Amino acid sequence: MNRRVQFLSSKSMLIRAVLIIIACGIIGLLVNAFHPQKVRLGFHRPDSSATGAQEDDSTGEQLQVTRIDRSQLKSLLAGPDIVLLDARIPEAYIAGHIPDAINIPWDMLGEYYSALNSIPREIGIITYCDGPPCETAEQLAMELKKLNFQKVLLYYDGLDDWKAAREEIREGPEHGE
Amino acid sequence: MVNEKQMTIINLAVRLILAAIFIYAAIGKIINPALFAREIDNYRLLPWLLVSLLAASLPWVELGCGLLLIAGRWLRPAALILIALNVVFILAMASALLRGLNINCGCFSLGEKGSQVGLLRIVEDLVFLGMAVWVYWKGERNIK
Repeated sequence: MNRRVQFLSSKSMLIRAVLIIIACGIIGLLVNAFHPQKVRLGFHRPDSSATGAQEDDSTGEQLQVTRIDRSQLKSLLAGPDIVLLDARIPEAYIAGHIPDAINIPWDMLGEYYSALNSIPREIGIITYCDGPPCETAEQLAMELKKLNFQKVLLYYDGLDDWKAAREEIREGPEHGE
Repeated sequence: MVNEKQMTIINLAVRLILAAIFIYAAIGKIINPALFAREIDNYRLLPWLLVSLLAASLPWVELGCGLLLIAGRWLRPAALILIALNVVFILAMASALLRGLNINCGCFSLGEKGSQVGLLRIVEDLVFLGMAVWVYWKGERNIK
């Protein structure tokens, strides 16, 4: 008898738990439908998230930065006319970066405009940071687009992905400064 | 030894603190579901469909459980959900740590203000898990 009561009590508790999840889930989905920052439901990631689209404040033009993966990055770095930019803070760069990357910290961009302006506009530029959400590298890439660099790419998976693949990491400042 | 009155106060305190934690955690995510979706997606564990459904509904489940704990109603079902959520959070963060992902945990504040996945966050969730188990265990008498 006692076991039966216990079983019914557990069953009732589980039913209530499921009811809470269903009720709250439905409320969440309804609120999301009218939310200004709503998440897009569906099988595919939204385009803006996949390509890092952003509007150019000055022209209203939609800027897009193409994301590349590690194998694309390696093949591009093996070729000519590519500059790799590390958007993280100098301390993080010194602690470890992708070989031949130049440090252009997004947070201190103002100090680096002259360095950026010395790069020919037709040279391909790849930006990276630690890894997803990789906002600093994405912002740097957008800024480069606005500065009229013609080929700007984003290594979105960043240094986390590079390290996970046990690729070479270089420590210290640029050119042994 | 703790007498019955002191135990009642401890039970109430654990319940209300746990409720406040989950309501606080829910509010940040409810304000920006799109950003929360990105933070779940960064764990690289789920397809986008599940990510988006979770981002829209999970904060409301947290909020609902928190409110039930404050109201003192359906304590064990609410605590059971919080136990399950904490176990999932701990496993997800452990898997991110093992894969060397340097991502936001998506626990409380999101985006730039968010805290990174790390051992401290896992310990924090273990404490919350312990509190939820306590409420589940002590909440039995509230089942009518």
